[in-house]
Amino acid sequence: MSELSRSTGRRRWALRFFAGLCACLALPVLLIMQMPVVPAVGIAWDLANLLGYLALACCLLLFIYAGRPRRSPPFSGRFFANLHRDIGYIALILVIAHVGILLVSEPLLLEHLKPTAPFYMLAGLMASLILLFLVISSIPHWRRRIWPNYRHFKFLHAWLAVACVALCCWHVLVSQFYLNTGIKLVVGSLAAMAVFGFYLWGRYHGQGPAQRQSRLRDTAVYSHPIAYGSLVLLLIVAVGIAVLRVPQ
Amino acid sequence: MNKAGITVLLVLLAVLLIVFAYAGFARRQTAMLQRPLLPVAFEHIDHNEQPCADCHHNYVDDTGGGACYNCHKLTPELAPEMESMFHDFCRECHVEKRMHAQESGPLRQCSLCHH
Repeated sequence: MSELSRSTGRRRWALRFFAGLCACLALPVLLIMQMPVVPAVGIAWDLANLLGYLALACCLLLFIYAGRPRRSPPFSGRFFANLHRDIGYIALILVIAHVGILLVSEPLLLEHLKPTAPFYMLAGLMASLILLFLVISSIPHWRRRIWPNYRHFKFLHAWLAVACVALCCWHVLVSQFYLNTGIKLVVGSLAAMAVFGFYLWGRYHGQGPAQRQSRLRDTAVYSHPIAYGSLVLLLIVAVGIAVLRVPQ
Repeated sequence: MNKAGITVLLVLLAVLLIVFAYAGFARRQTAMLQRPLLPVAFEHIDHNEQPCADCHHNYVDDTGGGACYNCHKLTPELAPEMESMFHDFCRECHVEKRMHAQESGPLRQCSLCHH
């Protein structure tokens, strides 16, 4: 195969994966907002909560692209490690935006960060702190200082991530504003459980043959444009939805 | 660190977590009883269409008298649940009305009620 056709193949796969990633992150959020329609509250409020849902979608996606090579796309192992790290950063950016926009637009929400806040808000706060710890402690410089043994890091990282997403799900399910019908609650819970199940199955039963031969080489660089490109696109979509939802 | 060391560390962390959670929970209950009420903008005239007993249930079920806060804030059993109870109660009706494209009042934004 010539270098030109290999390069075209890589780009085609990257574009296909980019489209799939955006759809995977945005579609559940759109369905939550529109099936049936949840009344709009305000641009800042709706935007902040859209970003919160996108952050949860990113956290769930981190269990599917958990840093190990997957069959699709047929990219190098380094691509999947980079993608996991980039989606983690994006989840943290989205959580910071979610909390920041809400606190700026509604300063009284600070009351919901105190120990007297409802438990589902404390769960959200705890999940954010765990996510922050997960991201910072994964930076190689810090990781090597805290855990000289990589296996110990991996073990704690995985279980803290499970705790983080479980707390996120509690925060989302109990706040019950956008998941406002029984069907939405059931489907949302099943989707989260399916992702957990998929992750645990892969962890304890392996993920099949690695198929190293058929992997496209020099593809690690695609993770940054794919991940941050999807962040930009999703931000534009989220702002658009928040603006369009508010009655004129 | 060897395996035994990690196990001891994890057990210690778990014990510490349980102790902190218990202390935090006890402190939280006390703080919830003592914290001041936030101002609430509530106009009777805006709620004329609602049956009185929807809010003033004590006239029907004989559970007390006077203003809402006399029981819901001053009774230690009810006070910790007051915030979520009032939020759910007001919000349910406001969201229901907004879903049917009726005039509903505030939905979730804190500053529209607490000012």
